[in-house]
Amino acid sequence: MGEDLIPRYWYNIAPDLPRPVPPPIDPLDSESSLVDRLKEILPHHLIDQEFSFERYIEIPADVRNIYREIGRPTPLLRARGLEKLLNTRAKIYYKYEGSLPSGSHKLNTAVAQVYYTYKEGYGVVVTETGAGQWGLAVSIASNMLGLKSQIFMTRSSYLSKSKRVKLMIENGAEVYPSPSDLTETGRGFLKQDPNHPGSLGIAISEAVETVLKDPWSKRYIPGSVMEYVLIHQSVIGLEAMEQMRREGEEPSVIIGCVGGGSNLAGISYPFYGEAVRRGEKPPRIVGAESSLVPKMTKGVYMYEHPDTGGALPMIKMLTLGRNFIPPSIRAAGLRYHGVAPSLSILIIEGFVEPRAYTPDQAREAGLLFYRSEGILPAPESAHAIAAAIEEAKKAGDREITILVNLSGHGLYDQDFYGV
Amino acid sequence: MDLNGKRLGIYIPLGYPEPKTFLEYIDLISNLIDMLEIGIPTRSPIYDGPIIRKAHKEILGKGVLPEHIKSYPELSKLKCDLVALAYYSEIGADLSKILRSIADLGFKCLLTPDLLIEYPEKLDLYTKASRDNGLEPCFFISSKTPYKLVEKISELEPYMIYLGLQASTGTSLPIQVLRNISIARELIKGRAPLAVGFGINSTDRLIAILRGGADIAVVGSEVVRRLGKDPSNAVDFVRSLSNAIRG
Ligand SMILES: Cc1ncc(COP(=O)(O)O)c(C=O)c1O
Repeated sequence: MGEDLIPRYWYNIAPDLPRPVPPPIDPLDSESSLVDRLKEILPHHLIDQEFSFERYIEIPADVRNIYREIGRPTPLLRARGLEKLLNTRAKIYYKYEGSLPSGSHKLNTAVAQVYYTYKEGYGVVVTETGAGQWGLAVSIASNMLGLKSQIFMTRSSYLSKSKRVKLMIENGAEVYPSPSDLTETGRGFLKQDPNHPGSLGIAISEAVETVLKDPWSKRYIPGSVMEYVLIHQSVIGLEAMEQMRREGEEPSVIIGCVGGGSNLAGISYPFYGEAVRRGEKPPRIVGAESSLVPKMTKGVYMYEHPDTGGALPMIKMLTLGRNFIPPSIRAAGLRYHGVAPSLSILIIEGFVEPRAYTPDQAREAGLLFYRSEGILPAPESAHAIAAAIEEAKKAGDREITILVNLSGHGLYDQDFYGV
Repeated sequence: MDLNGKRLGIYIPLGYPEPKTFLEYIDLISNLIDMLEIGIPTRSPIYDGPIIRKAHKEILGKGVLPEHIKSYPELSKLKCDLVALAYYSEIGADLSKILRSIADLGFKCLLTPDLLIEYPEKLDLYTKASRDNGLEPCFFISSKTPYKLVEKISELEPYMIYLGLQASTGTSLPIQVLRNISIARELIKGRAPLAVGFGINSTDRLIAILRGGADIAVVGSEVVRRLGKDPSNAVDFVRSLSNAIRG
C-alpha cells in the first residue's frame, strides 16, 4: 500500500545550506567538555548522524519496516472543503502526520531513536515532553521495541493533558511532572515556586541529569532541535515530494508550525534541497510560531544551551534564551525557547519566513479546518493552518499551491478549542 | 597502503608551556614532523576542548600576546612548514598585520577555523590578503560545511583544506571519521591537500586516518597535554608518531 513511497534514505540538509551550521561548543568557563560528555547521554549512532557529512543517510531496514507498520506513507490530502469555505483559487494540500498511531509526526523520530538505543543495548530511554505528543510517541516506540521509558512532562501540560499522560502510562512509561523532586535541577525550581509551570528547557535538563546518574542503562532522546531529529523527519517531505509529483503538482509555498523546528524541516527541507541542487529558486517556506513564544520573530541568533540547566553543550540558534519561561499555552509543543540550528540559518538567510499567531488566531483556524475537513488539528498544527489560510487569502486570484504539514490531530486537545 | 608522502602536523600554542621551553622543544619536534601549527594566543578558543583552552589561558597568564609572534625569530629557522592558527573573530580587524608578521617569519598560511562558519562573506578578503602578503590561503571545514563551499575553496589552490574530525579539539565522540574523510576527498578531488585533526591521540588512529585518505594528520591536544606535564615525553610521543608514518 504505497510502500514504494517510503524513502530508503533520510535527507540531511547540511550539505545544501547557504552557510555551515556552527558546531556545538562548551561555555568558555566550563572546566570539562560538555561536548565530549554527549557520548554518555545520547545513543552513539545518533551522535554520528549529527556529525555526518553525508547528504543521504540510509534508513535501517528494521526502521523502514516499522515505518510501514505504523502507517507510512501518511496521506497527502487536498483540503477541498477548506478551499471552498475560503472561496479561494489556491490549492491547499496537507500531509496528515496525525494519522500515525501516536497522533503526530513525533513517532517518525521516536521509532528511529528508540531503535538505535535498543541496538546499543540500553534498556531505558529518558526524555522531556510538552503537550505529550512526543512523550506519547516515545512510549509507543519503547513499548514496540521492549524498552522502558521515563518522561519528564512540563507541569502545566501534565495537569491539562491528563488523557495523554494515561495513554503513556498504559504503554508502560513512567511520567513525572517537571520540575520534579527527582533531580537537582527540578528541586531547584520547585524551591523557587512549588507550582512552577515547567518548561521544555527544564524538562530536558531533568532528563539529561537522570541519564547521567545511570549512563550504563539509560540514554536521552530529544523530541526536536537536534539535527538528527530533523533528518529523521525528512521522511515527511520525501514522501510528499513524490506524492505531489504523482498529483502533477509543485508547491509554491510550504508551511509548518515551529516548536523546535522538526516538522517544518521535515516537510520542507527535501524540496529546498532539490531546488538548490538544480540551481533553481526553492519554494517559499513559512514557519508558524505562537505569538507568546516568539523565538523566530523576536529571538536572537546566538550560542545558547538547549536546556535551561545548561547540561548540554551550547548550540547556535535563534533563541529567547534558556531562562525564558513561556506562558502556559495549550499549544505546549510550541513552548520552546529556540529553533534548530539549520532552521535558524534558513530564517536568517531569508529562505524561511517566520510568522507569529495568537492563540485566538490558531483556534479559529483549527476550528475552520475541523468544520471543513473533519479533522481537528493539534493546537500546534493549528498555527500552521492559520498561516495556510493567510497565504490562500493573500493569493487573491492567483493560483498558488500550498503544502501544509498537519503535524498532529487535536483529539485530546479539546480544551484548547473550548468545544 | 603506502604512507609515502603522508605528512604529520603538530599543533602547539605560541610560547607553551612557557616561552623558553617552547623554543627548546619545538626545535626538537620540528625535526620529526612536516608541519607545525602555532596557535596564536586567544581568549575565546571556542572550537577547542579543555586541554587547549587551558594552555591558552596559561600562556596569556604568562604575558604571551598575539603580536609576540614577531619576537620568535627562531621560528624562521625551523625545517618544517609553519602554519599559524587564529580565530577570525579576534584577528579579523588586524588581519593584514598578522599576515605580514607571519610571512616575515616564513609561515605558509594562516588558518582561521571560524572564517567559513561565522564569516563566510570574508572569504575573498582573506584569500586576497593572504596572497598580497605572499602567503597561500588555507581553509578549515567541518562535516557541516556545504558541498558547494568545499568545492569553491578547492578551486582557490589553498595550501591545505583542514577537516575538523570532531566538534571540538580533544574530544572523542563516536563519529565515523573515515566516512567523513572520504566524502571530503570526493569533494576536493585532489585539488588541495586534505589535512585532518581533532581527537587524534595515538599512532593507531593516526595511521588509520592517513590510510583512510587524509594527506596530513595534525595532533594537538595529546601533544599539548604531554608538553604541559613532561616536555621530553611529548618529544618521544611525536617521535613515535613520526616513526609510525615513516616506518
Ligand atoms: C503536533 C505537534 N506539532 C508540532 C510540534 C512542534 O515541534 P517541532 O517544531 O519540532 O515539529 C509539536 C511538539 O510537541 C507537536 O506535538
